[in-house]
Amino acid sequence: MYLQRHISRAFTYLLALALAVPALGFSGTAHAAQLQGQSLAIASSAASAVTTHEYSFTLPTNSNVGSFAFEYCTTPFPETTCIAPPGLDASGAILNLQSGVTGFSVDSVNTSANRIVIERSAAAVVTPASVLYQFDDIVNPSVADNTYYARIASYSSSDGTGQSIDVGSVAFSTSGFLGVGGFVPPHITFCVGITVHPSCQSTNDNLVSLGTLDESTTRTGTSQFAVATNDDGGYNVRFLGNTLTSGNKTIPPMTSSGSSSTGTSQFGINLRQNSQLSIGQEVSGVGSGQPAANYAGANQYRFVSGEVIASSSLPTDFNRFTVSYIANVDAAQDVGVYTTTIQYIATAQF
Amino acid sequence: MSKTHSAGLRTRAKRANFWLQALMLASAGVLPLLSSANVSAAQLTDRSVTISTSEPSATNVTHTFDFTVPGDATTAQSIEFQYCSTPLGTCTNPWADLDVSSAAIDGTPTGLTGWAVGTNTANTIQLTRTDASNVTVDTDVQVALNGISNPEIETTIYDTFYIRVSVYEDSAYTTVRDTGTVAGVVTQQLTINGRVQERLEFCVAALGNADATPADCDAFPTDTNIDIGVIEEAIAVSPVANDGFNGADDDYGIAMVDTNAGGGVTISYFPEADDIGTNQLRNFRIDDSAACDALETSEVDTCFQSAATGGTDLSAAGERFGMHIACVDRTASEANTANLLNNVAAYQADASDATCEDTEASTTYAWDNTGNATQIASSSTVVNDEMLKMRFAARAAATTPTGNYTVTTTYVATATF
Repeated sequence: MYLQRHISRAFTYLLALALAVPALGFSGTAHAAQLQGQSLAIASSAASAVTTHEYSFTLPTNSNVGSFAFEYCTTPFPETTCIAPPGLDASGAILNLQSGVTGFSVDSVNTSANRIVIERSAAAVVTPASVLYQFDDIVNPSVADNTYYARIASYSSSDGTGQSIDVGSVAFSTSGFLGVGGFVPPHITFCVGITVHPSCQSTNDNLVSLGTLDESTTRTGTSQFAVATNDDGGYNVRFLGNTLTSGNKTIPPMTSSGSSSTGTSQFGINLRQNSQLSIGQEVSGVGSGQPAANYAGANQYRFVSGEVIASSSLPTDFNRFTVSYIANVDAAQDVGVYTTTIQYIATAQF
Repeated sequence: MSKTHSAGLRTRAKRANFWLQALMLASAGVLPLLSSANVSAAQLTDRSVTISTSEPSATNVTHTFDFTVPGDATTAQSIEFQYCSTPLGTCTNPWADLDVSSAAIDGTPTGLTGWAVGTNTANTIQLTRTDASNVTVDTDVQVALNGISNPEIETTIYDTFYIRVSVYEDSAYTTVRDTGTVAGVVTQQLTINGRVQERLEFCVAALGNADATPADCDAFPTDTNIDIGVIEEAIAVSPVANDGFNGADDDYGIAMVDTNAGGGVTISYFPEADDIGTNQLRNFRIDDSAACDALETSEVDTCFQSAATGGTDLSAAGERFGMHIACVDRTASEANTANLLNNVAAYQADASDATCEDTEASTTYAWDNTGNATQIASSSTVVNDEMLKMRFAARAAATTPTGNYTVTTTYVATATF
């Protein structure tokens, strides 16, 4: 009987203890007030990113505060077991910014991979107190596209232990990556006409009429081309064509650079503004293209089929070139209708 | 023993038995008279008491009595409700501090009417009336009495108490007409706790132009790449249909948010920096390129010039890359809120685009390559599965080098609970 009585008492005490332990376990938050307006702004939502976490909230309770704890968990409720988000590491957190209730530093002893504790000598807080704490060097959870939680609690102790004063939780997400791609193809844009738009949006006509050729007057005409490319090596513009021809009769091309000479049969071109004959224009546009040296002399003309007349060594925006044509004949030039067709060819090597 | 003597004994015994039986019969007739107060009372039927709360120690509780008055057509001019710990026998208070002396009639009684509170005591409530008319047989009566306090629970589970109801023919509580007892109980309350946890669901993906709006983040596509396709000297805006040659994937960018944060949510973005390369690391650029100019205005380098943070009209010629929010799609479910706003002017396309398709007229796009998170949408309260539809636009210059250009953006949702 004596033994039975003692066993019975022991069982009663064990039962009482078992009932009491959970109550003690919950006591830390049993009477805590709720934080207000709490939020967690993360600088990057990328999984495993080393980033900044910025907490802001309002303390509702007039009390001495000596520490805050920021605990990262897979669930928000303070009274439930905290399971740390996989991959999250706050152990190296640096308190970068604090406002409202200040004077804190990271408690390195009590800070762990998923719990940051900041400490100070306990001091009174006048409520409502809006606070902000920004931590650098936090490693985000390693699982993307997931929601995690941080439990925030204030304590009168300076080590994040004991009865919490105010508590609250925030949620944050590791979703958010979006990649955007596109392809810029190789291209060269080139247009030819009597007149052309500076960026080839339009062209006008394709016939240069030099009029009646005689030994006393230099006949002139102009055409234009514009060109641009995104080729790293830029472009070359060549021309192909014969000199002015009428049947088997020709006006000699200027195979070397020279000036216009009235009374001498000659046919040539250049890409400059000329003063003597008042024809032509300088190259225009923001591109880097320039007339080739053989065709870049003002008042100097030349006509060698196949030669490069303009080029750029870089990718270049549009340049518009004006080609000036001159034709002179001597008194012995045979009668006829002299014509030629000239092709302008722009090339780039991609 | 002689025969004569024996017969005498039998005769006496018979007489004694006779007198005993007579006495028993007489007693049976007299006993009802001894308890005459109740003998003639009929039983109240269909009786019950409904208490407004069984919460222990509750105050100003209302007890509503229902019963049927049976019997012959006589008067009913008073009622007494006596609170006891037992249904029969001597009445003792069901709880120590019982006091129903302040009880009053609650509302208007039915069946028998015209009642006024009589002289209450600590455990008795009395009602009286002057109506001397006979009661219709089987009258259903309802009387509610308030101002009663429940007891503390004295057992661990419940306390039962009894109320003896007596209806009197007269108004002096003397001539009992009908009686009956009802029982009430005060018991422990059941407390039910629940918690709504802080919720922030945020998801980002690429969505095909012809695809339906996802119902929620769980149903979100896994594709997170948008291909604008071939970019030339005209504006190319996602979603760009695939023509078989351009490599485009006809996708929008989408971002859905669902939160119970009462303070609302903000959605911000920033371009990730290219991990290799120099200059303009957060621009639309050839991956890992070292050929980007320090001057962003260059149109011959391998980084697109970004649209201005305040917005740039890409209908004009020139190299640019940017983003805008075509609309907020609220068609994910019938329960969608309408709280998320694409209210940042630089990123806001036509607000009138109710269809939330790629039909907005705006050709203004913006891009912030500073690395700071730039807000593009917000709410001031909860949001239920609202979705931003984002479009990305690029326009090449004639000189923009050929190549595959890319940029990765990160979107961040910040909720205030």
